[in-house]
Amino acid sequence: MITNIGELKRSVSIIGVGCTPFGNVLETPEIKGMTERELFAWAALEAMEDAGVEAKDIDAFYIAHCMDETLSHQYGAYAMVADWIGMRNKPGFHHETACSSTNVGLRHAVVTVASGLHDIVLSGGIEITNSRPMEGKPAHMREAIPPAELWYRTNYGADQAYWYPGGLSVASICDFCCMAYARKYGLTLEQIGETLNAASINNRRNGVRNPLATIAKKEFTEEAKEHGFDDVKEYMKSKYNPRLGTIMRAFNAATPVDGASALIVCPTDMAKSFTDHPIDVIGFGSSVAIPYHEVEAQWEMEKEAFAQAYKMARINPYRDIDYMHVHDCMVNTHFTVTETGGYFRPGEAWRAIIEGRTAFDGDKPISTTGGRTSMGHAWCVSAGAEITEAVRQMREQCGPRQIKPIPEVSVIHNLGHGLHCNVVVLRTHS
Amino acid sequence: MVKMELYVKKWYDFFEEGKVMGLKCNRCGSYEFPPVSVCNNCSGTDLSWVEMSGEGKLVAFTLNPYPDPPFADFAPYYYGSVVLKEGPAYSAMILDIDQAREVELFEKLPVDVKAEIQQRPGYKFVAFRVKK
Repeated sequence: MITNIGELKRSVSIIGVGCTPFGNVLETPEIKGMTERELFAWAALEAMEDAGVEAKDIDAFYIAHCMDETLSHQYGAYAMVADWIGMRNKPGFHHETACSSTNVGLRHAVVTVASGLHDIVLSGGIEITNSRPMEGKPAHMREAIPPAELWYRTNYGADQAYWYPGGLSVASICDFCCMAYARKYGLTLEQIGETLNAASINNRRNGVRNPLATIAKKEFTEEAKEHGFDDVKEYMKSKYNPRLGTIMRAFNAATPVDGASALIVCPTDMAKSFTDHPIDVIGFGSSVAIPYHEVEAQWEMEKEAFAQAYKMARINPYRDIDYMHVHDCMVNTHFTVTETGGYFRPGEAWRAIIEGRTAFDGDKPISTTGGRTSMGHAWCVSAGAEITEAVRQMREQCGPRQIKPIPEVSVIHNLGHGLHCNVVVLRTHS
Repeated sequence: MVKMELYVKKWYDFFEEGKVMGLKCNRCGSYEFPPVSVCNNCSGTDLSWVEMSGEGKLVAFTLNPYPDPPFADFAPYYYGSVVLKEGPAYSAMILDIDQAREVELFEKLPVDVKAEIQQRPGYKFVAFRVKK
């Protein structure tokens, strides 16, 4: 670890969470016709209701909005939403670290409270990835953005104007990690491909059990049968799941969705007055780098972020973590990052995935939202949705995908393109 | 006093001269590729331009069938992770990978590659070619 990590001046807890259904505002009934304003207000007001506070009780807010100019034709998200969440004339800040933004937003909120500056802070994010306002028209008059254009603009997260002109695609990164992992542990490309597919199957199984994951209609086993495959593994290797590169296939990659998420924090010594189930934020770590120039499956930047978080949280990852969410816009992270983060021993995770141990009802659950492949990827918003999921798992509110025994220590890892890594450690207040 | 150079322009101008250049730290001897204004190994700011050998090892690769629009005319192409002889790792377009022999190439990794400057409309960039 290269970063000096101190202690917070006071402990901070999450007292409220909110998250909209994830889908497409042009199509999905639950959110159809909504603009950024209604979506963010939905998540923020839900978090306030959950915490038992009103807007007037909140001292400040942070809002993440990653591709605001491209996808929303604005860059002043603080003012866009302030009135919608009842925060007029209060301190409000827009920030972004791409797809790790709302994990970083929790860090901003915690530091703000831990410093003593404010007591109650809301932090959330909004992103509509599938459409943009028509030029010069109101925000509800939207047009679909072609996927190729969306991904090209998203790739601006990498330093396009300098070294990028070599031709990087976002999808390349998954295959690099897969090859490095396969070479390290003597796996074939076919074994790695099967592992990716097993992780995607698990994500879908979780997604169909998550009402916010509107894109997850049915499990892959069922979908396979409809296409005449008795064996879901064969279906996942068929033309229905085409390759996007040398190894990764379509179902191993994120589906863009629209949505919003929000969290509310306050000092731990105040938290019990709001909720019976405060969740303490006991550690976080952060690092930035261009890992597309790294050659190992386990990136130095991620080792650094995990090390910071675990030192601050004073936990032993191999012993103390009950639930881990890893940023799975490409599901290789289920075996590469879970090992970097100490949820598995080196070389152990790929087999655990094949054996089903990472299911919500397995002994090492990962990404019970449905992940970025089956809940979908709402760019800067998903990290907050994943923290929300961890909080709800820790409060035993996850119904058919509830982890048993109820997790007490959760780790949420997120990556923002470019790249930014942010890790947070949560613990049930005792 | 800080003396800031036109690093980005210089790097691309060197390609026009047929040179693949990096920066070498005069304090610790490590390389920055692509060039940046500070040594990320020792924090030193005294760095000198040096011509890179162009030699490297390919350690991972992937087919890129659907590149971003500016690279559509190259598609499909391979993109790979290269460790340069001088130390830095760099990801770049990889030339001369046979799609029918991907598995064979994977099993041979790491394999030798050599830098090769490529022309784009209005500028040149560096790719790597798999050595025979």
